[in-house]
Amino acid sequence: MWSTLHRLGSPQGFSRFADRWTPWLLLSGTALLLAGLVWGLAFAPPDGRQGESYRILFVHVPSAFLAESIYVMMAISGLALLVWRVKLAALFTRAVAPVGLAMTFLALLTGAIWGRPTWGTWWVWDARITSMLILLFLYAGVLALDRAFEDERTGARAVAVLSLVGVINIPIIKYSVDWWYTLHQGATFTLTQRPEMPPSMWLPLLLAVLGLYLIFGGLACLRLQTAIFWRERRTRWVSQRLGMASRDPEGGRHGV
Amino acid sequence: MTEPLLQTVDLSCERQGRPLFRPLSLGIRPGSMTRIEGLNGAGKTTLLRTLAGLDEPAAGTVLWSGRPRLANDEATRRNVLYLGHQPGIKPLLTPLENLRALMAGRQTVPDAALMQALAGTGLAGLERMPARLLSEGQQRRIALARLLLADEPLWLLDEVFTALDADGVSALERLLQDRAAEGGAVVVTSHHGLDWPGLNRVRLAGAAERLPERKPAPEPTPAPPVAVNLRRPNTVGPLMAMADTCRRDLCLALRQPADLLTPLLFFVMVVTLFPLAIGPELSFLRDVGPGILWVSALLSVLLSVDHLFRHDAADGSLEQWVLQPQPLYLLVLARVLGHWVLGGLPLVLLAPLLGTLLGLSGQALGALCLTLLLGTPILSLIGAIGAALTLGLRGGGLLLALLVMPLYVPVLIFGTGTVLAAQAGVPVTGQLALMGAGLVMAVTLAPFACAAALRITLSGR
Repeated sequence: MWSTLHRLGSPQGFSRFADRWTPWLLLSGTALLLAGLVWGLAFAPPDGRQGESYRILFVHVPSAFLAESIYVMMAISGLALLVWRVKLAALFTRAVAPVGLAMTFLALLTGAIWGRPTWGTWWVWDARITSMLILLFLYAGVLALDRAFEDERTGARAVAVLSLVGVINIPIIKYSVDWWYTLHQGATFTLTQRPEMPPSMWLPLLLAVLGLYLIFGGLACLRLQTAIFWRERRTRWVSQRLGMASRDPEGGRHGV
Repeated sequence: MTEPLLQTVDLSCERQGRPLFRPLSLGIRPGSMTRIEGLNGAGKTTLLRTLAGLDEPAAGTVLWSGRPRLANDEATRRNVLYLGHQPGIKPLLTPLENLRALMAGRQTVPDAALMQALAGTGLAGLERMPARLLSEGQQRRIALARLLLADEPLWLLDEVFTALDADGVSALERLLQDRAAEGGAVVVTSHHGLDWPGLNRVRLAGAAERLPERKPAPEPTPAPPVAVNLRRPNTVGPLMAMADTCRRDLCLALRQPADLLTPLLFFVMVVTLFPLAIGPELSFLRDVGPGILWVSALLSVLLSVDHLFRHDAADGSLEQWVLQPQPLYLLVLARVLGHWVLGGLPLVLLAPLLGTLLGLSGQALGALCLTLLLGTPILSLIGAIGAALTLGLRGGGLLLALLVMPLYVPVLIFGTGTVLAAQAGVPVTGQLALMGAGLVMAVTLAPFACAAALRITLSGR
């Protein structure tokens, strides 16, 4: 198992892995997501209390799940970079952070759209929404720090430290925001005490969540693959892999 | 032949992902002089920094007396003296204090010996004058006085001849030769033409350079672990080093009282802006007062934490500080503590006054002081991580705010919530205990993250 992991951790090994798996991940993910969305949006029964408007849940929940897990994945890859010096980990964070930011934004946006018919307002300072907003800030910080460094190696390691510090803080932030929210018990009602969902609701949700994770996997492979090619653009294996005439390492610099 | 003190095996360094020189294998033996040669940009400074442990090699290993450098990092740092491009002299400190700061964490040297060393470099009579009144060459001489006191077996000197007059150059040449004769090892980079008998020359060939004949370098076999007789044990305890850091930081800060007052004035002014913006009714201000005070205190800490490392990084003293053979974790803790005493504690003392202006009740004022007392050190500690991460970046201050503010959220929530609860007459011991737990956690974890971040950003400079 270690040798497999080791092979995957090397740029060349991962590149081969990505060649084989990216299309499958993207295809199966799209299929599952589409199935979940069509089922959820068109065929699932309407909610007893909220009517049809709850259907945005099939977009909102998967993106919120993914937004949180991507940050955790970034932190794990940060640990892998700082402790085990896995080369690939340096590229991983940089590749997935924009996806995480987009997912957080999507979760917030769909949450706001959902809030309009449910709560009668676009924005409530609800504990979960506020935690999500802070997660958005954390992503923004990671991206800003990553872009600020001229030297990629240093930047990747600095970002690794930041995402680790962030991931230790996420539970604390979450707890404190929950506490803050109960302190300021507002007039809004929350969705926490929702009645049990029938399988015709949670099954499409499960499909959509799985589909989005698979798509994310494919996207991450694709973006990592691109980053690997760019970083190793001077090496022979990349020029061979991209079907370019094999040149000497120096000439290859202008190639890509 | 004696065993080498320091060896490199296929060492290569990169800048911006581009290899600087061909993989280098060299051994530095006691009693030798080595000059690193190469064109501008060939990587001389990077090589020295890598040997000193400031930069990480892209590939290859550095061995200290036969063992990997990382395995006994602190012992190595005690035995290696590095003087960089920038001598790390603080203009606000006197030569005596500067020299003491350069020796901090390594040796305890009595003041008389420091004075003697300064006199030895021609600074007699100037020991207690702020270094900013000295010329650049004289400031350099302070760093050279460091060499007179140095007992480290290996010296790594980057461009030490810069800004020295002819007398200084010849004195330094003599010093280095004597050092090698005593059995010390000296590695220099210099544009100054050196021609000593027995000088080893290491030419850094660019990675792209085609050498006429390519003789593969003989594989240096890693030497078995040997006790180098020149090796110095670490005699200065970490607590001493922490005290030195604190003393130096406080001394520096107190010589720039304006820098100390700025965050405080900022705090007062921001608090003043709120009544102007939202109206003067005390009944309303009383409700929002805790929030106003906490947000302003947070911003004020953010403002002051930015130059925790920035000035020191600019003049090279940060490198000397990091290279002390001490746990960086503890040094960071000492520095943040010093920062908090001067930047956080005054906020705690000032807060009741401003709280009164906002109409807070007596109980709320007490809770405000207590929460600030527990909370501002957390803010300083987390801020230190941000300051270390944004070291040397353009627009570092703003970026620091962006990184750190989301992490400040729990402190803000608990701080404000506690004061509000106290104002409502609810007992707040539980919240205070939670904040105390937060402080303990921050003290334990944040210095680790900060030390790691410092090593990373310093290596990228």
